[in-house]
Amino acid sequence: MASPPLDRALLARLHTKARADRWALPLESFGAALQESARRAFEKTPDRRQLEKYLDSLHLEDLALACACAEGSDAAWEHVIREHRPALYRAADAIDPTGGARDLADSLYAELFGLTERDGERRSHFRYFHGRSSLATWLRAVLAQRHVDRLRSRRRLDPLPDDEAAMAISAAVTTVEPARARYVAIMRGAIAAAVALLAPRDRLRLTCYYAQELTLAQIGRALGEHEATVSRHLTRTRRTIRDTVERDLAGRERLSAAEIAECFASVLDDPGSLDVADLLGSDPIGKELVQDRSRDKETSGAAGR
Amino acid sequence: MQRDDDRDRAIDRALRESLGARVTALPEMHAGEHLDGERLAAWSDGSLRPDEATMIERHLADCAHCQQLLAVFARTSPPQVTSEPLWRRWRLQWLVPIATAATAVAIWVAAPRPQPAPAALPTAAQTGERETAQTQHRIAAPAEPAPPAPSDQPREKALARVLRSPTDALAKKETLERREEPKERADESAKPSASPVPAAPQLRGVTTASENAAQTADAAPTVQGNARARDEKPARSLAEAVPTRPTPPAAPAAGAAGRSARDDVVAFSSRRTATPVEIASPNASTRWRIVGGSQVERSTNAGADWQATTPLPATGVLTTGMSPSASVCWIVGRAGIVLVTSDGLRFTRVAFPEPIDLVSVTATDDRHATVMSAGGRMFRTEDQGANWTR
Repeated sequence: MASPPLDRALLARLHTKARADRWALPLESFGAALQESARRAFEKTPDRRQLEKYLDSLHLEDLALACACAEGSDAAWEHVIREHRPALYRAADAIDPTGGARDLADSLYAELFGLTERDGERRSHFRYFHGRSSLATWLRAVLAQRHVDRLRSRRRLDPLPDDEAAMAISAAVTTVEPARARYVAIMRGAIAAAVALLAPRDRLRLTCYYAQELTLAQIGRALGEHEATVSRHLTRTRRTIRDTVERDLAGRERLSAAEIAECFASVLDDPGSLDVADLLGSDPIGKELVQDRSRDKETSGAAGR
Repeated sequence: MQRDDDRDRAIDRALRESLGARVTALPEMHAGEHLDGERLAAWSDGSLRPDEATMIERHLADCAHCQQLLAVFARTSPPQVTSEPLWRRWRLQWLVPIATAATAVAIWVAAPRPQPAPAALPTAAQTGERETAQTQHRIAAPAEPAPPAPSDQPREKALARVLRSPTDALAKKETLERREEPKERADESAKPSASPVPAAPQLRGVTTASENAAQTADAAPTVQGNARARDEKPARSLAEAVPTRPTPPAAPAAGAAGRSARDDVVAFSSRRTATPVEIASPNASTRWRIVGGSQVERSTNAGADWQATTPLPATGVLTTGMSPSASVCWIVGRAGIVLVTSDGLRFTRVAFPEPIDLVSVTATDDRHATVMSAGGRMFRTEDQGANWTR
């Protein structure tokens, strides 16, 4: 999309609103950053009203700060050192409490300052900030992305399990009682179908809790909900799933009440996991990502179980 | 007959297994299909248009890749600060001094009151102290010096105990900080002399006014009070002692910039020493780590075992490092410490032009590196530290 037009009056107003004069940021530089942000946000050229509304919704002060840092303003950089760098390191420590993500924060910090050059020109990573979120959130997101990328690249280097281990696993699978295997398979299918029927947000909440093992508080912060709301929604969602599963077993699978009870019991009794992927259990990413569930989960109780 | 609870538990367990299994079976990632940091941040801040937000939510609900990114991101989110209840606020502000004063008065009234001893003339200092504390018991007459009258001692001691208790913690903190201060200074002054520092290489480049300011921030930490950087409070108890001290007249000009950079490094270093800093090399099995802020260890089996490197040629706090290859590692630290190894085990100290605190390093091999100071200044070498440019 071509850069949308920005008239001088609007630019001056946004420049003032962003308090860009604190960093002596030229109007033109700020205007270029606004245009780039708008160019990325709209697929078609917006009209003036749409454009103004969009630009007004941006985190303008942070955008001006990032612009000024990219331009090499000492005052702006000093502000970043004071206000944002500590938060960046705290985020790194939260990702990996053993300090393993500190080097990521260091390299990001260096890139923000612009240690890398392209065509002989210093390139600051701040140029990739377009003001659609706060700078603090953006920094956390970029750090998280790099951490995940690094874990993925490490995983590619890990050796595959040897043959003996694979044989042992297959033997374990085959020794499981056939009736239970059938009931478990039926339950899995019914649960998968029930989950697929949920609204995306409910599904997301569920996977955050069960797959990613986030605490209620973390889910709440990620989704912009209160912890108690998350708990309530999870309880409701589980109840919905259970109802759907029971209906499905009775209707589509034509199971009797006793067989349905067997299905539930087969899942509840725990002679070992039946999921081959789970038995292989070799998800270094999942295991590394799933750190300890913080204390607030315990304080939150059983999340409406 | 199964109870409802059992069925709920069955659902709970099945969800945990089946959804957990999704994490283990990740499809290959294709560029452009997934969320990037910018969109995730905007979604999290609620800054997206409703249609964009819905689209992202739908993608997140079914994409294990992006769920993992979201999970890591969610773990970095700072806990929300809840405001203190009103009752707690006014109680803390008013009840503590009121209760203290009431207790003091009660002890004053209840303490035994022995008969006055023969009068004695206090010294000038004693007179001053007593006039403030016990004017109604002043002894007026005689001339000969004598030990202070014992009549008010139990009360004074009791009163002193009571009055001391609310501020005890503060007094102890100040005492501790005062004790720490010379120690810290001694550490800093001892550091350059304790380690053999190679002769400072010549620094190329022109110093501008802004660079001078940054240089002041790096090299001349001052002690002016400053209310900023509140986020770092827990990590810098030592640094917070600084503003309570009187400002030395010798360096009043560096001001806020100097202090913040200084505080940053203090906090940075203290955090660094708390947990080992791991430095990964491009080879997944080789890595180094800074232990206790001053020792370096190497692992050649992906962190399973660690082996101490040969004794470092410099003593001081090490902050971070970077390894461009399996045998090369650069490490920087406070007071201009730059170390490099080309064989993975023996570190040599690289000359650095200024004794400033270094917080970041990037390197491409054992000769080319760029370091950054706490004040944001960059120094680059292309000959393993023989020359540095800015």
